[in-house]
Order: sequence, then structure tokens, then C-alpha cells
Amino acid sequence: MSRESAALASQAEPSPYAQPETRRAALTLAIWVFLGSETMLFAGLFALYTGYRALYGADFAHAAAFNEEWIGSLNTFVLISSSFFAAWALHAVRAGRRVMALASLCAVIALGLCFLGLKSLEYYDHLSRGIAPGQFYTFTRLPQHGARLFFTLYYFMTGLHALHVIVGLSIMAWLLHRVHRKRTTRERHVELELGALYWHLVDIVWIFLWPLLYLIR
Amino acid sequence: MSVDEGMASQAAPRERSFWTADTSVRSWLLTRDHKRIGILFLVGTSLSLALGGLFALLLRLELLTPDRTIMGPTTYNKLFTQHGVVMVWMFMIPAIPGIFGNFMLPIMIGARDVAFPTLNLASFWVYVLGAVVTLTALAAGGVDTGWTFYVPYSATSLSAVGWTVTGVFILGISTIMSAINFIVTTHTLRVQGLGWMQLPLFVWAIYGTAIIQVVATPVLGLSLLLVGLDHGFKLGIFDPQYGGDPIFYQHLFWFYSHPAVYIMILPGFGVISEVVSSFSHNPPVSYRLIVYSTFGISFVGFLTWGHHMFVSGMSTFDAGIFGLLSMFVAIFSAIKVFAWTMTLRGGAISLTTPLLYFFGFMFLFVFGGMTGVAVASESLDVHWHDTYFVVAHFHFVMVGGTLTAFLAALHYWFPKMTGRRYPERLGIASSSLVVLGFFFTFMPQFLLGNAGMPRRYYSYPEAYQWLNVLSTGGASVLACGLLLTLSYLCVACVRGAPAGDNPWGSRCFEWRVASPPPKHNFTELPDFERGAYAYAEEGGLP
Amino acid sequence: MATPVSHPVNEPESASGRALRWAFLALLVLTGLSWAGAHAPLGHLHGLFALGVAAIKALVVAFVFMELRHAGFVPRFIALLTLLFIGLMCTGIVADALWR
Repeated sequence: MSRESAALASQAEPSPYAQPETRRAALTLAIWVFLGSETMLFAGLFALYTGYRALYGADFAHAAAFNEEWIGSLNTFVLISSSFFAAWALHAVRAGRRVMALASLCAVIALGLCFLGLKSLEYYDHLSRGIAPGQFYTFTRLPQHGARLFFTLYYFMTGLHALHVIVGLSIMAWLLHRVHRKRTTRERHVELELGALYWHLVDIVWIFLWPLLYLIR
Repeated sequence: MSVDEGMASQAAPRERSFWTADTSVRSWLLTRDHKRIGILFLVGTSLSLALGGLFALLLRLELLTPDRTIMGPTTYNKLFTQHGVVMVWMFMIPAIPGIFGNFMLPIMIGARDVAFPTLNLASFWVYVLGAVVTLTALAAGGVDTGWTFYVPYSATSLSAVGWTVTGVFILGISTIMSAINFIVTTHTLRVQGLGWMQLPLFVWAIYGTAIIQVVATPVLGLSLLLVGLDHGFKLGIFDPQYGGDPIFYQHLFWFYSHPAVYIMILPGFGVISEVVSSFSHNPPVSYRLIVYSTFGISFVGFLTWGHHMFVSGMSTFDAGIFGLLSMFVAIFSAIKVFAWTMTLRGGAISLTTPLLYFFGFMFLFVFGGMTGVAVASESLDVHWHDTYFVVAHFHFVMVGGTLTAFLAALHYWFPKMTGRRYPERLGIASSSLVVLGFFFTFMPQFLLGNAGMPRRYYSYPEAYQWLNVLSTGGASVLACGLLLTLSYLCVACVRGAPAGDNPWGSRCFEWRVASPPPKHNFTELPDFERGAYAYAEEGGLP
Repeated sequence: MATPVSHPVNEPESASGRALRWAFLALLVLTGLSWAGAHAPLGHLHGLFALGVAAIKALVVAFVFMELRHAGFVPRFIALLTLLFIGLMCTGIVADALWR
């Protein structure tokens, strides 16, 4: 057996990427492709919304009036700030400023939890008034089909989004741990880049959900 | 002996092949070797093909007589549903990419493996999980909604809708994982000096398919999620009782499912491109045309989903637009068909099993494709929709197209994967049985559909019986051909004659490594300077 | 062990701290603008205005926070492609709903 093949045979598993930069480029490409597919997941809901809005017109606006504007707006502010701190954390890590990165990631998570808290408040408020999806809708002030369907869509869209927020926060918590343990550093932080990208997409989805579900007149 | 074989025997003594590099069960089930994962997919998808085929045979047996033959109507409905679900998501979509994409693509670009080998392994086990969950539906009594899960029936049916949509959802995740891997692999692991326009056409086909998979499959996931929730909890997003619109489900479902048919056929096109060049020893008549038409199909395929909904009640305006757009997508397939035909011209033809499957493919796919253009015409589809005409159309392209290409790939790459030859005469015999059997299964169905026999019907008027009997006869011949193929391929795995590295004299890159390849694909990097279709340079056959 | 590859890899540029802060400010202003627009007498233009502002905000997040400004061709192509497909899906459904 030649020396090279012997060396090959003794290797545990093939490493497709020799240098960290090539591995990073591959992971970055992979996350963008993945984000594209995540966007397509929401795309279907946006399309349904558009179709139903075309069918129901004014009913949607009447229904949206019952979504508390202050919760929606505050949540928008919260998520945008959270997104900023995620970008700031990455900036801090690249500058080698570990403490600032830790503080930023804590802010990301705190704001994300705040978002979920406000959402829960909103869901609780709605459910206690009988605003629920599909067959469970008992809101007599707006009995029409269009209003019921608006809220069914509302629950699906914000529900799927909230699931993504939960996943994103878990990722952020893991990243916080990594920065804390100095496993994510100035030299090696590709996971933070990927996690931040995911979090920004979660923010972008909400940026569109807010006007569609809260601001229509 | 080919030139390549001669050179190989003078080289350094070989590494052990990937088959024997490590023989524990664990080393197979937890492998990160793309070749072994390809073999795992071969086992999984072949079992799925057998199961889906069994369901089909049972259906055809039932249809031998106008009324009850061997089963009741509910069982019949469950069988055709299960046949569709298993065939589409457990065989057609994962087979060629999962087996041959995994095995060949890294070798074809000079890489040692895919970009993310662990993700690759995970994609296989997620496939298994999805398959198990889908099949649990069988144990739970089966599902009878049709593979398309149309509301309102899928929301109200008492059958195992929940299990099935969950299983298919999981299978979709496996697809996306594989697709991401192939895209990143093709972008980042091409060997130095190998540009995009020098890639083998099979790589382009897998890459184009992966793009469709990443874009379309999430929409399927959403549709299934919504149907599942509607079925389980009456959340009513498509239920008119709660303000929903059932046609919107169809929009969402077909937005995925029309591109899905291109997911199923494009890898087959890639195989055909390789086979036609290798067995005519000619370069493709226009490499660029084939590459561009691949993307033409990938993109335009997304613009046509409404042609499945002509009679659903959607607006005639929208229907008209979709009908028009549907005409365009056929152009790209036609370009490929002409290109493949012209590639044969002036070539040194080796009449072998893969090439016979190529000829079968050309005839059956063109026939199926043309009937596709016919049903895409709204005024004609009004008569043919939900009849056996449509069933025949899609079986011609799916079975006559994809399955034939799959069988071509199996025979073409058999020597590369196993290092052995299959018995050529048995190959020729079985390919004849398969193509003829197929033709007599589905040609009568065009006539049945045109005469008005609806699809998914358990019973039918006696006048339709003789065509149904003919169809069942054809199905039996097709089954024999497939069983024969399975038998001799299994035997040849252990007792076939040694093949050498390049028994076909192909120029494509995978033939420049050992057959079968060693664990890390090659000891020394093969020559990638000489192109994948550089036949003319060597002046004909080796 | 790994083979030499064709894929170009250069040191990526990244968003500066200043850019991030300005982007954050812009997003807050735009959010306020959305809110104001919802309360202004815009009549039929409400929806268009709200979505237009949302689009600008999304672009800011994408180009500055997600560093699409410094990214190569492929991530931008992916972003554009997904936008096109969302538009395609919406168009197909609306063309049905509006003209039944």
C-alpha cells in the first residue's frame, strides 16, 4: 500500500474543506439556501393572506381593528432592536470585544423573550374574547366569514413565526454559551454569523406581518 | 481492455474498495461516505418501488372486472392513495438524486465527498423516519383521499390523514437537506480548474433539481401542515363553513406539485444525457443547450401550476393564463429531446441495456410529453380531467420517463458501483419486457380516458372491460421485467464478471476512478484536464 | 486530504459599527412612519404605503444587518428569487380570487 493510501486509510472521516475559510464559505452558502427555503415556507401563508384579502376586502380591515395596535407596534420595536443587537454582537466578536458581545447577546435574548411575552398576552386576550381559529371562533361582534378567516390566518402566521422565534432564541442561547466559554472567538465565529442571519430573517418576516395584521384600514 | 484499464493496472496497488474498507454494520448505518449513503438510498427506494408496485398490481387486479374482484371500494381508494404517496415521495423524488446523485456527483467534480457528509447521513435517516411514519398510516387503516389530499375530503375523511401528511412532511425535510448539500457541494467543491461549463450534464441536472427542491418543498410542507391541522382540529383555513376556500388549497398544493414533477424528471434527464453520450461515444450535440434548457424547465415549471385546476372552479381568466404558460415549458423538454437524438448521429453505437432504456425513454417520454401539452390545453382538459387520459399521461412521463431513466442509470453505473458486469442478454430481455409491458399497461388507459372512464373509480361499465384487462396484462409483463431485473442485478453483485474501471469506454469523469471506487474516491486525483465528453479527440472507440 | 477547489474565497467585508447604528436608527424612524401612515388619511393607498415602508425596512435589515451589501452574487440571487416566487404565488391566487 502506498504511503498516501495508508495515510488515507487511517483517517477517520474525509474532511471536504481543508481551510477554515472554505468551510466558512460553504456554511454561509448553505445558510442562505436554507433561509431561502424558510422564506418559501412563509410565502404560502402570505399568498393565502393575499388571496383571502382579495375575497374579503373590508372584513379584513374590520377584523384587524381588534388586534391591539400597541402590542403589535411594541413588538415590532422589540424585534428590530433584538435584530440590531444580534448584528452588534457579531460586530463585537469580530472586534474581539467579548464582554460587549455577551451583553449584546443577552439583549437579543431578553428582547426576544419580551416579544414572546407580549405575544402570549395578546393570544390570551384574544382567546378570552372568543377570537380563536376556525371552529373555535366565538367572537360575536364580528361574526362574518371574512373576520373569522382573518383571525385564523393571524394565528397561523404569528404562530409559525413564534415557533421560529423560539428556535432562534434557542440558537442565541447556545451562541451566548459559546461566546462565554470562548469557543466562539474573533478568529472562529462562523456559527454566530449563521445564527444571526437566521435571527434577522425572523425579524424580516415580522416586519411584513405587522402591517398586514395590524395596520390595515 | 480499455486504455484506462491498462493504465490502472500499472499504477500502484489499489486501496480496498469502499465496500470492504470497513465491514461492520455500524460502519454502514452511520457512514458518512457518500457512496455508502447512495447504496442505503438504493435499498430504501427499491423497497419503496416494490411496495408501490405491489399496490399497483393489486389495483390492476381489482380492475380486471367491472365490479368487485378482490377488494371493496374503500380498500381500493386507500390503495390508489397509498400507491401515489409511496411512489411519488418514497421513490420518484429521492431515487435518482439519493442513489446516483450521492454516489456520482462528488466523484464527477473531483471531490472526496459532499460538502456536509453528516448532513447527508441525516438526510437518509430522516427519509427512513418519514417513510416509517407514512407507512404507519397503513397500519392505522390507510388513507383514502388520493395522493393530492384535496380538501374538503381530506379534512373530513376518517382515514389516517394525520399520519400520512406528517410522514410526507418529514420526507420533504429529507429532500431539502439533500438539496442544500448538493447545491453547496457543486458550488464549493469542484476541483481546481473545473469550471461550471465543464461539468458533466448529470451534475447540472442534480443541481437544477436541488434548486427546485429547496424552493418548492417548503410550500408542500405548509400545505400538508394546514391540511393536517384542518383534519385534526378543524381550524378551517380551507373550510367554507369557516370562511375558507378549498380552491386555495389546490393553489398551494400544486405550486409545489407541478415543480415536483420536474424534480422527478430532471435527474432522469441528467442520466439520459450521460447514457446517450457514453453509448454513442459522441459529445452532446450542444452542451449549452442542454444546460440552459435545464434551467428553463426549473424556472418555467413554477409558472404553470394552475393547469391542474382547470375544472376546479377557479377563474377562467387565471385558467387561461396558466394554459398559455404551460405551453412554454414543453419547449425546453423538446430542445433536450432533439439534442439527444442529434447526439447519436455519426456515433459509434454500443447497443447495450442502458441504450435500450434510452430508446424506450425517448419513445415513451415524447409520447407522454406530447399528451401533456394536450391536457395543458384548457378546452381539451375539460373533457380529459380526472379521467384515465391524465393517468396515462403522467405514467408515461413518470414511469416511461423517470423509471426508465432510473433503470438506465442502474445498468450504466452498475459496473462503477460494484466493479462487476450484469448479464447483457438478460438486460436486453428485461428492458424489452419493461418497455413493452409498460406500453400495454398505459396505452389502453389513454383510450379508456378518452372514452370517458374516470380515474379513481372502483367500478366501471362493462364496455370498458377489455381495455382494463389489456392494461392489467401489460402490468403483469412490466412486473415480470422488473422482477427479472432485480434478480439478475442481485446475482451479478456477487457473481458478475469483473468489469474493469471503464467497461463502456466513457469519457465522463467518474470512469477515471476505480470500479468500485475506494473509500475516499481516488488515491491520486484523476486527470480533469481532458473534458467529460472529449470523444472526438481520441478518434472513436478506445 | 481535501482536493484543491475552484471556488473563490476572499476575506469577507463586514458591516461597520457606524453602519449598524445608522441602520437601527433608520429602522426606528421607518417604524414610526408606518405607524403614522396607518393613522393618516391615505384612503386606498394605506396598504401600498404600509407594504412599501415594510419593504424598505426589510432591505435595510437585509443589506446592513445581514451584510447582503458585502455578500457575493449567490446570496443576493437567492433573496431576489424568493421575492419573485412570493410575488408569483400571490399573483396566481389573486388572479383567481378577483376574477371568479
